[in-house]
Amino acid sequence: MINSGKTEPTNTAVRNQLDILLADDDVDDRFFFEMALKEVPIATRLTTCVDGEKLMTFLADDNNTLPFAVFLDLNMPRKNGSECLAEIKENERLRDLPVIIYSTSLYDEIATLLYQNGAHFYLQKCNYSALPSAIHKILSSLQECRQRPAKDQFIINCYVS
Amino acid sequence: MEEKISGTEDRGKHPVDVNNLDYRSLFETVPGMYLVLAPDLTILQASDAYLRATLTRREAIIGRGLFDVFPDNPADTSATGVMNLRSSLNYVLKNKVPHTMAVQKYDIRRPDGSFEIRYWSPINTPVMNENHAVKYIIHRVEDVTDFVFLQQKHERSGERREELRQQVRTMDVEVLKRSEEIQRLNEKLERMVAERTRKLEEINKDLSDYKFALDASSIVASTDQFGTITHVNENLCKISKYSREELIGQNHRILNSGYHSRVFFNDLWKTISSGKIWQGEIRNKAKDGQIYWVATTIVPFLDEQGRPFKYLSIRSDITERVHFLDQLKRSEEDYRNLYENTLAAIITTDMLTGKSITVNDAAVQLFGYESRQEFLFNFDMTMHFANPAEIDENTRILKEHGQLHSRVVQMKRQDGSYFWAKIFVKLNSTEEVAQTVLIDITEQVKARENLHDKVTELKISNRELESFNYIASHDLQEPLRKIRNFVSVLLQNEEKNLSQQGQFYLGRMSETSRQMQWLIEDLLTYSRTRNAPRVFEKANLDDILNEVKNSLSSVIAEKNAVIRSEKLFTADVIRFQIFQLLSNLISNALKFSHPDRRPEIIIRGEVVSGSTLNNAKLLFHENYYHLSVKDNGIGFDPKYSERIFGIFERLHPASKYKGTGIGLAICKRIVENHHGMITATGRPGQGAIFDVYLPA
Repeated sequence: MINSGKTEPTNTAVRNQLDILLADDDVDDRFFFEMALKEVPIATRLTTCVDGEKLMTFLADDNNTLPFAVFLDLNMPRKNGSECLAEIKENERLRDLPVIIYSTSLYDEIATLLYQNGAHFYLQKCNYSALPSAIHKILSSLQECRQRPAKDQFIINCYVS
Repeated sequence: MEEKISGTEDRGKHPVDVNNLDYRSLFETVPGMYLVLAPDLTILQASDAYLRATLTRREAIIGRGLFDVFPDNPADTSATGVMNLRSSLNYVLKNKVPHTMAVQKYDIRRPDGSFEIRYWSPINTPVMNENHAVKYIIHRVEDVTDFVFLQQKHERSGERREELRQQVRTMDVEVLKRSEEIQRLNEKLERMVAERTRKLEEINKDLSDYKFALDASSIVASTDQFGTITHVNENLCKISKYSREELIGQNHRILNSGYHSRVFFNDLWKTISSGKIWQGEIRNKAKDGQIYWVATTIVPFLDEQGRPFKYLSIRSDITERVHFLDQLKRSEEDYRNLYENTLAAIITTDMLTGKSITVNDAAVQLFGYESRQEFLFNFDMTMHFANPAEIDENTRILKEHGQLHSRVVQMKRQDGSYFWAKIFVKLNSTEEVAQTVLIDITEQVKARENLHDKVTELKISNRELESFNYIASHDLQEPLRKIRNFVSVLLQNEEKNLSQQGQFYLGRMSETSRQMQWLIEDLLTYSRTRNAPRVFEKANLDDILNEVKNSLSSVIAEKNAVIRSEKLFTADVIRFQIFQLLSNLISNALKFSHPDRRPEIIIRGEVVSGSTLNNAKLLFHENYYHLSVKDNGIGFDPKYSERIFGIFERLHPASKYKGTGIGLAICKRIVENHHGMITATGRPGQGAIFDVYLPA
């Protein structure tokens, strides 16, 4: 039911590893994210879900430790990203979980709405070459401060030609 | 005369000057009694016999007034001598003819002052000078006193031959009586003549008044019986432009314009030569060729045999009237032709009866009748409305405004088929007659419906295309991004495992996919410039320019370009589109920079009047925001100044200058969204200027 990502084999590293959760129905995007995440100079362990419903099931399971951050695709079957965000923010246990929107499209109105609904960052799906640094920037930022950034820091534009 | 002179040769031997006879001596000694008077009745001369008979001396009377010398006998209260003589002399002076007076008692004053009874028989004769004025009056008298006395003496002596004497006496008295009678009759006659003369003078005056009036008002000419002009008045000279001398003696044909037929003139001559008055209108030609029309009356004058010997023509100039009538006729004809030939149906209707009065063929056809007769007999407009409810409405408008202007109505033909018509109705000034004009616009209505359908279809298909374009390019982005990502991963992780050839292919693939991404992005932008909601807001273009410069800072730095700008303006614009516009124009300028020069881009903005821009597409009286972006790049051939804005239009091979050929098309769309216009001016190697005009 839950596709766990590859985990770091060394135990010593496990303690310092950041648990990252990714919900994306697109297998290729999951692959690129995973590849990019490996390039980020921060120890992480990735867990992926293939749609919103599975994400919410995973988060609702008390056996699972809460991740460091959730990367959330918007356009997913069964339960889309916005719905997931709303549910997370309404859930007292999950409320403080940083949610990073991870989507191809980027519309100001939708982005604003998502920020108002409690998302931390908006990462536009971009070229692979720019992806690792973008993820790194977000994770570092969250390591420093788990609070939501200001609105003008919300969108992480990595669309570099 | 010469013979006579040559026959009296002896005259030459005793020369007597015939030209210098002594007329004075001759006159004085002439046997008769003569007196010569001046017109003022001064005595100028008297013969000796006269002096003797009147007991006067020449020197005592010459130079004195006649009646001074010979007054009436104051003792004779019935004396009429002076009066009768004065009357006779006046008659002579006035009428310039001799006058014989009746025997006249006119007593003579003796030198001692007493009077001697005398009877006279005088004749007064005028002598004229060269001017036909009376120069002298010759007063000749016979002294008949002895004769009269003899009769009385014989009467008294009562001698023999009583009978004869009686007879002579009777005769003499008779003569005297007669002469008195003659005198009386003469006087009466003279009075009658004077009266007649006065009347004639009056008639003469009237005639000359008539002639004056005729000459002043009309064109008058007389001809002889052959038509040869004998008299013309000033008006004829004026209108014909011939002088009197040129006309007189000519045949009247000189004025013929060649317009009238032979029959016309034959008829004229037949009428006047038979002694009847002819009247008609004649077109004549003046000396200079000018044509004029005259209303003409020709009056023939007949001799004792009833044959015309003279024609008098009286005319008046009616040229203007004829021209006016001609124009009226032509104009009437024009209208008639228009009425007959027009495709518009025209019907006139009597407002009282509702009956049609006239109709043209177009109307007969339009309503599907067989003939005008059938139409006029049967037509009733109210039967032809497709929607009878419109009749009342149209009638109301017509009554209210006197006309119906350009109403579109659906009408019904005789056979029940329908047509659309544009209808015009106008009442005449008395509101008795209405003229209705109908134009069949069925085709137009159909065409308009078709057009409307087509436009709607086009709008729908356009919208579909735009959204297809958007969706396609949007959805194409995803797989493309993935391809590019795989290429990146491949390059990053597997390049060392590939052959050199493989690495080259991979490099080309990377480049091509990047090119495709640009294309899709630009297409999306292009599509969005049409579809995105257009929100106009007040924006400062200096701010927008700064944002553009920031977003392009890396390229600007890379190209080492200088961007100069003067203060721009604040305007109501779609902000993000103006950002796009400036961004595209500046990117364009940077992209096509000259390899040998440091790129320099100058941006200007000002408000200008359309009248100063000399561009037919801009309104003369409007103000415009003028934004210009000028570079010193490679420029372009002016023949491409329009094409440059077409979508996918590229002037350079993609290998040399990267681009999708959409950037300037986006600019054009943006400017059009702002109801403005954009132009490009350039020369190869000398840079380019892009001018944007937005309505202020």
